[in-house]
Amino acid sequence: MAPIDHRPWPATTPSPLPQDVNPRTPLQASGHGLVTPAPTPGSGGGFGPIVEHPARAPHRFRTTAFRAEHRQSWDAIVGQCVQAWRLTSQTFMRQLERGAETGFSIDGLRALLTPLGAAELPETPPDTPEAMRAPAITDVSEVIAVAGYLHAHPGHTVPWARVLHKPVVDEQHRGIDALAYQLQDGEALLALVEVMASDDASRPPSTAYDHANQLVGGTITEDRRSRLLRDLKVVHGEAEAMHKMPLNMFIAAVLAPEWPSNLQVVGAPCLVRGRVRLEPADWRPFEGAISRVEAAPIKATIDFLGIQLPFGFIELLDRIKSSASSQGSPSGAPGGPAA
Amino acid sequence: MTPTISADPRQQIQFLEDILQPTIEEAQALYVRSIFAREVGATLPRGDWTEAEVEERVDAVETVAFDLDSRARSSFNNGPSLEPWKSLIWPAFRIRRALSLPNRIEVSGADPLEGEFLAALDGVVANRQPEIRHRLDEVDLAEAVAGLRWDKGVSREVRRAFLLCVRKRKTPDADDLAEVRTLVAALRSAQPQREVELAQLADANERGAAAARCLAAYNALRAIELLADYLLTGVVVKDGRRLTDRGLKGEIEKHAFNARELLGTIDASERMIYGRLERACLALVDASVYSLPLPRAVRDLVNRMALRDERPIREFWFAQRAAINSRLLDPTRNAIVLSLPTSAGKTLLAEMAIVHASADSPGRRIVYLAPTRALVTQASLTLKRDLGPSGFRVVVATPVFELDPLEEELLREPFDILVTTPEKLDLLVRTGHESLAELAMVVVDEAHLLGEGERGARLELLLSTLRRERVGCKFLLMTPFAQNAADLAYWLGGEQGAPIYIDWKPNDRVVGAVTKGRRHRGVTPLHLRTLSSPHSDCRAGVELGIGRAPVGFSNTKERLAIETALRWSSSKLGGVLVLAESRRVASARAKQIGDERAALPPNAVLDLVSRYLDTESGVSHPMSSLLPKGVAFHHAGLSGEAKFLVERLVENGDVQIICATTTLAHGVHFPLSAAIIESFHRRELHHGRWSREKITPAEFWNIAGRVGRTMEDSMGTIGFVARNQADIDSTQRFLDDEAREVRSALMEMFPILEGIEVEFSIAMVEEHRAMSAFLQYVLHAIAVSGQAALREDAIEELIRGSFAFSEANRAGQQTADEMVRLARSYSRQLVRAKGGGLAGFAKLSDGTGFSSPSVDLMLAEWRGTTREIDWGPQALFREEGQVSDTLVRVMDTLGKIPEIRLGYYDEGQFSPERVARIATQWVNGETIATIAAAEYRDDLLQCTKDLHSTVATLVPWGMRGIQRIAFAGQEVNWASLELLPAMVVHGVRSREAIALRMLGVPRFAAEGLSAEVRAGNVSFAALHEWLVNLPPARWQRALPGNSGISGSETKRIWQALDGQLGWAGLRQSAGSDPA
Repeated sequence: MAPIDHRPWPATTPSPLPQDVNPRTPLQASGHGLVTPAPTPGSGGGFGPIVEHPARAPHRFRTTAFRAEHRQSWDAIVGQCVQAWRLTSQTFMRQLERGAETGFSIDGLRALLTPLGAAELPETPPDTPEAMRAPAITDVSEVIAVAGYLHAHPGHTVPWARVLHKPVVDEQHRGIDALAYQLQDGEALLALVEVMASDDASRPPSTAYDHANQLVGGTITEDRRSRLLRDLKVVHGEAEAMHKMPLNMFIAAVLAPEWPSNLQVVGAPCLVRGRVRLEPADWRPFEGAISRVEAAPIKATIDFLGIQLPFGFIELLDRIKSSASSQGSPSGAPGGPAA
Repeated sequence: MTPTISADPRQQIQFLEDILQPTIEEAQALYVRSIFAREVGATLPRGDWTEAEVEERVDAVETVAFDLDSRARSSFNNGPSLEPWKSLIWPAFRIRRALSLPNRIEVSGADPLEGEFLAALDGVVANRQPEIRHRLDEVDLAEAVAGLRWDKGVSREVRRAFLLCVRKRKTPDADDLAEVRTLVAALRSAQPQREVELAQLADANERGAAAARCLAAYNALRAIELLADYLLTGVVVKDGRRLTDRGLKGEIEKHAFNARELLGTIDASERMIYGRLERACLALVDASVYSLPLPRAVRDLVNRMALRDERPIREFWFAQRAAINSRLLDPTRNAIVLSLPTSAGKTLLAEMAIVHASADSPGRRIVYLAPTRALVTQASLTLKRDLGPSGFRVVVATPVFELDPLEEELLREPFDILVTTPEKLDLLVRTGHESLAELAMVVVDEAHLLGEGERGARLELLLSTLRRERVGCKFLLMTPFAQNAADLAYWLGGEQGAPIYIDWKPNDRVVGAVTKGRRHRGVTPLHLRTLSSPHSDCRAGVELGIGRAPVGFSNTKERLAIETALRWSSSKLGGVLVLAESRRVASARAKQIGDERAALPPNAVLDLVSRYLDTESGVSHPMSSLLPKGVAFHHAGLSGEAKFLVERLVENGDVQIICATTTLAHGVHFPLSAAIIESFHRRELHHGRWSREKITPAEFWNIAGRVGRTMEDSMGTIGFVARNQADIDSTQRFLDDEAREVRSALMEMFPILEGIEVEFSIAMVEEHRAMSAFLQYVLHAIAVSGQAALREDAIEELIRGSFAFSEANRAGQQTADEMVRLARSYSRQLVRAKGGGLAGFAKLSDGTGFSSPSVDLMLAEWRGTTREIDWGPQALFREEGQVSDTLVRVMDTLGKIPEIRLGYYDEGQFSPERVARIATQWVNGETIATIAAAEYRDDLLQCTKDLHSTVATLVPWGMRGIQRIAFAGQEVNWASLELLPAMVVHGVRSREAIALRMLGVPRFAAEGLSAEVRAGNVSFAALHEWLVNLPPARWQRALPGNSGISGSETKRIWQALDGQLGWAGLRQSAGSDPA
C-alpha cells in the first residue's frame, strides 16, 4: 500500500476551470443533472491532486483534499448549500401563489408554508460530537463529497442532487446519498455514493463500519435490491428527461434476475474528514468488505474516496454561511475561505 | 446468454417484458383463481410470491413504463411498434389488480381505495376501461372517509374523484361525473374549518409538509374537476373562454406539474403517483367521446348518445378510437375492412360510418347486411334505436330470396337504411330494384362469411357486382378476424381501400378443459384446467375449482357438461352456454339440466315467454317447462321470434343456462359469461345420413368470442369437457389450429377443376356449391351488358373483379388463369346452347338466384306445362281434400335443384307430397303442433326447424323462380302470383296477414288481426301506426280461442320484437294481466 502524505493539505493556487464550464450552472435549476467538466483528473478546481492507494485492483482507494481557496469552486459549493437550504422557499412560494387557480383558498396555507419555505440559513450546532449529525453539517458534507466524487470521476453524471432535499426530517429518504452514472461504448457504470462525514478520532471511524454495512450488505449484496430500486425510482422521479433513459435502464437491470453483463456497479463511499486527517486505517471496513462485494450477484467494485477538509466541519459551515449571507449582494465580497 | 441493458427504448421494453413475464403469469393465475374461488365461496388463494416484493417491482416497472409511454406519445420517430402501454402498463395493471384483490387488502390492512386507484391509473393508460369500470362497480365510491387528518383526507378525495371519472356510472339517481363536482365543492366549503387543524401540528416541518400535501391535492382536484366537466358535457370554460381538448390538457398538465413540484421535497412516492395521475387524466381526455374531431353529422350523433339518459356513451373504447384514428371516416376511403374482435365496439363504428356516408352522399341509401334473420332483426332494432333519433328511417327486407308486392310497396316508401341478408340484396340488385339504384354505402356484418361455401361465394360476387355497377358506393366490411384485411380492402377499394386491423378485446378470457380430478379423502373434485391458447389470458396448467362431483358421478362428457352448467349457472353472473353437436343433443341437455335444477322464484317475464311459446306452437312447448328453471335451448328448431325472446331472456339474466348448437356462429349477438363446449363438432343429416364434422376455428371463436360480457363480467370462461387426457390433447390440437384469414369460398373450387374440361350441369353445381354463384355472376354480366360481356377481354375483366381472382393471383398465375378459362368455357357453352336467345335467357335467369343448369331444368319441367289457374291461393293451398298437384310438382322440382336441395337434410326418402302437405298446412294456419302431429310424429322441434329453415325460406325462393320461368312473357296477374311465396314465408294466407307478419306480428295473431285491417281498410303505409294505436281488447279478439297469452301481452311482445318496448318495459308489464 502506498504511504499517505500525512502533512496538512497544501494550499494551492486555484487552477482555472475550462472556459465552457460553470460549476454552478448544473445546480441552478432544481433537479438538473450535475455533469462534471472534464478537468485533468487528479488536479485542478476545488480539489487537490488525487492520491491513488493501489494494491486492491480493480477496487480503488483514493484520497484528495478540498481546496477552499479556489474561488469558483467555493462559490459553487456555497451556492449548492444555499440552494439546499432555500430550495423549498422558491418552489413553495411560487406554487402557493399559483394555488389560487385551484379554486381553493390559499390564505390558510400561506401561514403554514411560509416557515417551511423561509430562506433562512441553518443554525450552526454546538461544537460537540453530536454536531456531525446536524442536518446542516450533513448537507455541507454531502455537497463537498459529491463535488469531490465528480472531480475524481470526470465524465460521470449525477442525474439529481438528492443530497439537497432534506427540508422535512421525517420525510427524508434513507437511501443512498447520490447516484452517478457513466455510459460509454455500450458499457454502463452506476455509482452508489455513500457520504460519511467524521471527525471521530478513532480509526476507522465508526461511521465507516456502518456505511460499509449499508453499502455492501444493505445494497450491493442485498437479494431483493430494494434499497437500490427505491433510490433509482426516487431519482427517476426527480431527474430531468435526459437522464431518465439511463435510469430506466438501471431500473430494468435491478429487476433482472441475472445481472446484465454490460453494467458495472461501483460502491463509492466518500469519507470527508475535517480536523482529523485521513489515514489508510479509515477505509479498512471497505477493504474488509471486498470479498463480499466480489461474491455479490451483481458485478460490483469498491471505489473509495477520502476527502480532507482544510478545517473542521463547524468552521466549514460557518464559512459557507458567511459566504452565503454576502452572496447576492452586488458589493458583497464572496464569503471565501478566509476566516 | 447473459443479458445486456441498453438505452434503446425498444430493447428496454423487451427486457422488462421478459423480466415481468413470470410475475404477470403468476398474477393472472392468481386473479383467475381468486375469481373462481369467489364464485364458489372458497377461501381466496394466495400467490406464490411476497406481495411487498411484487408491489416494489411493479412500481419500478411502472416508473419506467410511464416514462417510455410519455416518450412514445411525444415522439413521431418511434413508430407505431413502440407501445409501452400494451407491453408494460397493461401487464402492470394485471399485477396491480391481483394485488388489490379484496383478501389482499384485508391482509395488509391497506385502504382498498388505494389499490383500486393504483390499478386504475395503470388500467386507464393501458386502455382497459371496460375492465376497470366493471371492477369499480363493486367499489363504494359514495362517501368520503371521515376521521382522516385534513391533508390525508384531501389526498384520498383525489383518488375518489379520479375513480368516479373513470367509472362514469349514470343511474336515474346518481351520476359519477356530476358527483365529482359535488365532491370538490364540498371540500372547498369545508376547507376553512378543516385546514385549521393543520396549524395545530406541533412540528413546523410537519405543518409545512401537510400544507404542501394539501396544496398539491388541491391542484390535483382542480385537474380532475376540469376533467369531469369535460367528460360530462365536452365543454370546459376558463376565464370565460371555452377550452379545446388541447387547452384542457394544458390545464391538467399545469396543475399536475404544480402538485408534483410541491411534493418533490416532501413525498417522493406521492409525487410519482401524481405523475401517473396526470398521464391517466390525459388518457381519459383522449378516450372521451368529445375529444376526437369528427365530421359534423357524426359529432351530432355521438353527442346525442353521450347525453342520453339510458346507457350514455361517454367514452370510446380503445379499438373504436384506433379505428377512427385509422381513418375509418375518411371520405376518400371507398372500402374499409374493419377487423375487430367480438364485443370491441363494431356496431357504434358502423353507425358512425353510416351517418358519415349518408351526410356525404345525401339521398343515397345505405344497406346493412347481416347473415341471419336473427342478426337482421337485432341490427335493425339497434339502428332504429341509435339512429332513429337522428332522423334515419330503417327498414327491413324479409331475409328470404323472394320479393312480394307488399315488400315492393315497403321499399317504395322513403327510407335511409335497408337491413337485410346478402341473398336478399342479391335478389334486389339482380332484379334492378329502383330503391337501390344509388347506394352510399354497403355495410357487411360478419364479413368472414365470404369464406363459407355457397353463401360466401354469393356474397363475394354480390360485392363484386356492386363494385362494378354502383358508382360511388362505399363498402364497410366488419369481421372479428381477418389478418388479410389488407387484401380484402384492396380488392374492393384498390388504392382507396383500407384495412383496419385492431387486436383488442374488452376483457379477459380463460380457456380450459373441464375434467374430473383425483379422488381425495372421499371427494372427487371437478376443475377447469387451463389450456394453451392465444385467446386465453391465463397460462396453461392452472387448476381452477368448480366444485365436487356428486356421489356416483359417471365420467362422461354429458355428465361433465351438466354438472359444470349447474355449478356455473349459480356462480357466474351471466348466461352459461352449453354448446352441443346437434339440435337433438342441445334440447336433451337442456331438459336434463332443467330436471336437476330447482325452479326459480316466480318470474313474470319467463312465464309470459313460456305462454307465448305454447301459443305459438299450439301445444305445451318443450321449452316452456324449462324456462321457469332458468334453462333454455337455442337452435334451428325455434322460430325467429322465439329465438329473439330467448336471447333477450339470457341477455337480461332471466335464463342462466342456454344449450345451443353451432347455429350461434352467425346467429346472435348476445353476451355470455361462460361457455361449456361439450363438442366442437357438428352433427348433421346429409341425404338421410348423419355426418360429423369439426367446426372451424373461425366458427368456434365467433361463438366463444362472445363469452365475457363487457362491463358485466370479470372475465369470460370457456370450458371444453374432457373425460381423459386424450380428450384434453384433442382439444389442445383444436385450439392450436388457427385460421385467421378470410379466404374466398371460390378458391376451393378452382384448383380441383384445373385443366378439366367442365360440363356446366346440375351435377357439377351439385358437386361444387360455390359454382352456382360463379355462374350467376357471369350470367348477370351478360344480362346487364349483353353480347359485349361475352368478349374475351370483358370476361377477363369480370373475373378480375372477384376477390377469388386476386387471391388466385397471389397463389399463382395458374389458378388465376384457371378462373378465366372456366368463365370463358362457360360463356362459350352458353353461346353454343342458347345461340341468339342467350340475352333473353340471361335476363330470365338473373334474379332467380339459380344457376343456368337449374334454370334449364325448371324450363324443361315448367315451361308450357302449367296454367295460371293452378296457381291461385285456393288451388295451390287447398283447405280441404287432396294437396295440389302443382304444389307437389313444385316440391319435386325443388328436390332436384342444387341451390335448394329440398330434402337433402331429411331423414329417409324425400317426399314432394309430404313437403307440399306441410306447406299447405302452414299457409292455412294450422298450428305447428298440428303439423308436427300429422307429419313429424309429434316432433315439434323438428317440425319447427323444417318450417322455418326449409318451408318458409327455400320453398318460396324456388316457387318464385318457377313462377318467373313458367310464366315469363305471359300476361298473368303477377301481383297475385307473387303473393303466394310470401304466404309460405309467413305461414298465412291473406295479403293483410302477410303485411302484419312483415311488421313482426306473431303468426297466431296475424290472420285474426287481418280481419280488423280489412274492416278498417288500413293501408300498408299506415299499418304500423294503426297497430301501435290498436287497443289491447282488439288484439285480444284476434287471438285463437286457446291462446295462452292475452291481447295486451301479445301487443307488448310485438312491441318488444319491434323495438318499441325495451326488455325492462316488458318485464315491468309482464304478469300485469295474464290470460
